[in-house]
Amino acid sequence: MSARVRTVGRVAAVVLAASLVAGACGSSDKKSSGSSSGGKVSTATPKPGGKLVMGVEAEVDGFDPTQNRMDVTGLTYASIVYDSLGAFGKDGKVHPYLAESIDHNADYTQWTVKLRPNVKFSNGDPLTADDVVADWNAHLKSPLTAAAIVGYLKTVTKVDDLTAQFTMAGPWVPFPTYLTGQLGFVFSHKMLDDPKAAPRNPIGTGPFVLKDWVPGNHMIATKNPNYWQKGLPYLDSVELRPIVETQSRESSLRAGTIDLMHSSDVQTIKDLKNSGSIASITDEKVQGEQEEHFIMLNTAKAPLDDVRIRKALAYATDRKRRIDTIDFGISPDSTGPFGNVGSDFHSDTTYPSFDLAKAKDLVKQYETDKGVSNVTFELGTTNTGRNLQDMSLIQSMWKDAGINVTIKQVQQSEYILNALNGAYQAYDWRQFGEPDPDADFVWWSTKTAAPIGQLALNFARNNDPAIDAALLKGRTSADDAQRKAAYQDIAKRFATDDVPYVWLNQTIWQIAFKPKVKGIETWTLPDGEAGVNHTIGGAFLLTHVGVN
Amino acid sequence: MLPLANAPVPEAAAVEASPRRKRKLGFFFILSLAWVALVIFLAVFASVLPIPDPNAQKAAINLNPSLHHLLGTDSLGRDMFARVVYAGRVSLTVGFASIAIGLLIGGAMGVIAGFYRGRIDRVLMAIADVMLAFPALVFALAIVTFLGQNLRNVTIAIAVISIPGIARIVRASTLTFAQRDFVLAARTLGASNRRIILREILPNVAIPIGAFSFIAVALAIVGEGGLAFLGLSVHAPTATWGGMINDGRSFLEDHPALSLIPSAVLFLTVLALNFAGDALRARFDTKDVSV
Amino acid sequence: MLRSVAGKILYLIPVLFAVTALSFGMLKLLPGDPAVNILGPSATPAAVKTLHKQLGLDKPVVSQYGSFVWNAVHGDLGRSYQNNQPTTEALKQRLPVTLELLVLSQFLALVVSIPLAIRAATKPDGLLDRISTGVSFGFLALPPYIVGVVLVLLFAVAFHVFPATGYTPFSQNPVENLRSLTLPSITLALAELATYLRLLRADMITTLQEDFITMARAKGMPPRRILWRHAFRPSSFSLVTVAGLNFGRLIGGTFIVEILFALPGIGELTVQSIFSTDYLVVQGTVLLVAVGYVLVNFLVDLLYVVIDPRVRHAAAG
Repeated sequence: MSARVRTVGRVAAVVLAASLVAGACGSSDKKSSGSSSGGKVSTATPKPGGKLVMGVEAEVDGFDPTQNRMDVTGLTYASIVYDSLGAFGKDGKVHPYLAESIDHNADYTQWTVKLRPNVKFSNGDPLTADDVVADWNAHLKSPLTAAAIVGYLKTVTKVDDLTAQFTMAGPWVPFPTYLTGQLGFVFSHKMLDDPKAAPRNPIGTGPFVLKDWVPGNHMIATKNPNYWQKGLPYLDSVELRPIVETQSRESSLRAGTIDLMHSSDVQTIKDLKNSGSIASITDEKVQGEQEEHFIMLNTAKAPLDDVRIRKALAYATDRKRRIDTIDFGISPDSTGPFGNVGSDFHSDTTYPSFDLAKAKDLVKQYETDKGVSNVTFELGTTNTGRNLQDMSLIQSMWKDAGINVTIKQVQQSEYILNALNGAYQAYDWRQFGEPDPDADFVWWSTKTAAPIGQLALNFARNNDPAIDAALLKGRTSADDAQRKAAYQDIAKRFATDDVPYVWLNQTIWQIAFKPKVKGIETWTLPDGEAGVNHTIGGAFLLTHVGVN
Repeated sequence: MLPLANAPVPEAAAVEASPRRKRKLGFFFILSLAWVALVIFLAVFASVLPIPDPNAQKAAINLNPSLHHLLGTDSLGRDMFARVVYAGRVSLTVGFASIAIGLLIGGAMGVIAGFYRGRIDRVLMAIADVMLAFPALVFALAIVTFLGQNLRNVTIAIAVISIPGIARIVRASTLTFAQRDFVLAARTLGASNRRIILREILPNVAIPIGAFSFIAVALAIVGEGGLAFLGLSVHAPTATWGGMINDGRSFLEDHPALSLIPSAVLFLTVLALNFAGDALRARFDTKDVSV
Repeated sequence: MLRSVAGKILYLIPVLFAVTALSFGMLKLLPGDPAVNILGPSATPAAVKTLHKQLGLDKPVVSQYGSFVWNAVHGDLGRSYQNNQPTTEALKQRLPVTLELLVLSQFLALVVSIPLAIRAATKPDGLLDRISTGVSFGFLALPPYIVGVVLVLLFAVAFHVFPATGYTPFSQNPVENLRSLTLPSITLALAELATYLRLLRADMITTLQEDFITMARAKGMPPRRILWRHAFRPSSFSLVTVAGLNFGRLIGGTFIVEILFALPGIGELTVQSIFSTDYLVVQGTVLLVAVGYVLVNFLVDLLYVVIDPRVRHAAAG
């Protein structure tokens, strides 16, 4: 249980993703597909009909994109009743989905989204630009979703019945990536009339229509008979059940209680990969910006305000031994914020590799310098058995370097609050899984690094103007190579100059299912490009899946 | 509540206890005692005995039992024998101390409520009801948050959680005895309330409560594991029996020993305590029903 | 009888007040902020402020509690901060799950433990006594979070006899309903076996030594009748008390089993809402559990009367 509550932060969709260790959230799929196990993943085209039951890792708050935080589970739920304006193709680019076209002006300061004609909402109303305009203006005022866009996105206006125009404060090259997730879901403007009812009464254009939602029990949706993508969805109905305990979810799939599930738990991933009767795919080889697991250091608090100690921690961490012991050797190594395997933005950084002598040396330097004889601090984590095992291992590794940490278990809700307030020293953390690194803007900018005691999205309080410059370059540059270089610069700053994060591993997500489930890896976007089928982290699109 | 205090006694229950055979303390008793003694001895003297550091991660992971590691190693390469021994310290302390506190306070509440009845009963039972209905989790969270996450506070949390239940059980037991003839007889003979409670009620109530309290100790030890399940018990990497059982849960298919070894130790300990308690009671208790 | 029912209702009021006030106060003292739980890591100061205002969290604690009481008296327990579901609706959806689980599991535990305890008490330290004690202690030392997992691996994964998780309402499909609750009920029942068995056994041993039993034996009554009719009833005080306590405790306390088996019950709701500082939902569950306790204790008091003739007379007064 663990009775753990997901406190995963997905602010703006697949876009601004942050998550805690016990929480989870995803990286995105871009370009290539994930790796699948054995030859059990069926490539046959599904036949219409049937029902699919999916086990998900958490209950969602609701279906209102302006009010309800959407993590991997939330995105899965939302994509059942809504369509996003854009979607990623296998080429790693954003393609129009519910939009017919997504265009920009010469300097990327204006984006124009044209909608498909003759699309209807589940209440029978036609889809128009009014809905898009109303949705985005609500986002700009929303306490939940505004953070990622407000200030930089100036106005959203209607051009004609099917066209909306987005005007920016400056060039915003990766803007379309924001149209693929929480911000990109189009909902009827009528939902805004009754904000209290909206989370439980979605009105969307999606492949299914919400039939019954009993929080904590199940959510059932039935086929949308008027769906704009002809012949889709294949399934007559889908049922999603929150099964918070990973072990229970795994058992449910193996027992045939459910048909499909997602997980980022290494034990489950290992078990199901090796199971003869279950097919599975994982996302470690997909491109994009992978979610990382790391120890986040509060650079505003002693002794972690000294970069020598932060570096010493990095040197003292034997990542290979940790991955072998805790993750059964499954998770890929991590030496930067963008995922070592599969990310376009990762480059071999100069991040410290395990070197106990160097770690001890740095600790000694610090001790002589400050006249202290003992380096100690608190290492926080949330309350799951595996996290505690993990932190016990790290504690013993750091002890070898002369750094004594005590492990502090913190309740989830307090955990985020402490991170925001800077009321911590080192936290076990999982974050930075985004379709595009531009979404990391708010997490790394010096503008969001408030002093301790004030809420700040730059949790590590890492003040580095060089990172600001690189973030802006990444956002405004139209040249792929330049963008790549900008983000690689950030990874290098993290590796050598700042070290606010002690990287541990790259998170993996698995989708596991009965062999009868088809359509997992083969489908195309409306414009003919191959779709990135399965995982956006653990988020999963059920539109193209069938059981017959 | 029912006003029972002055209710007449319709049934003529016997006053004299029948003479009973004293049962012998047998083989099971010796075995039980030896086990409990061993567990307590190891827990108390763990740090001076040649037992490895329970948190050292020097060995390979998931080793089978050997001369080096009597019970093998866990998923981090820690010595299981050492962990079980050190866990005994925490679990036995939590189990016994919390139930002792619970018996002291809850027992007093229950006897007073059951003996005096009337208003004091209603007030005490209302307090018990409030304590019972109060979500234990919120209470445990508060203790851990404000007082800190350590052995003492976990013990206090479990003690307080156990108080109202014990109070209710003791009250129920007191109710049955307060109406018995030997109590009425003592009263007729002019015994004070205090004397009746101490001499007549307590020894009789102690029997069913004794049986219950060994179970309560086991429940407290397992309950500590429940707190560990929610992350509200002692700091990692400190081992506890309940915590170890819980930690082994996700390895149940591949390495069941991680859960089963602490489970077995816990099982043998509570079983031994019960057998020993039974045997002692059977031998020394001659006046459980009458004056 | 009527008088005592009215008395119970009057008694309920201060208890409910005390419980809700205490839990409200303590929850407020605990660190955590509903707004941050809704917003997640992206909580900006402005957003937190807006939400505090929307949710009425900017008012003093006393006035927040006051409006909770005021609304509760009018049958409105408020809505979840997290998903906006009315608390009463959530309780209504979840109570049947927990009640069914409780009744089934306690029934199982009692049906197994009562005959065993009675037989064991006739021959203390006999073979049956030793074995039943040993086995029941075995289950006591194997907490639900292990037993449940093993049962699932065995009966759901290895042999597809029962579903691994989930809940089907009785009204929808009675057979599926029972199947979905079998493993969780067994898991819960096994944990209670030792308690019931040992308590009843101890009380029975005491009772069997009393003279009215000797007398009954002397009169040549059949042993069966003596055991069940004469010995069992007066021996069941502690058992009834503890079973009652368990009933009350488990209304909000079956969360480990509910989480393991993904059952949408009250316990799971309580834990979720506490951890997400969803104050009004916590208050709802606290109210429900308190009412449950008082009701169960009332029934237990009535049962005392049924069990013990000495208590019967007093019932009228």
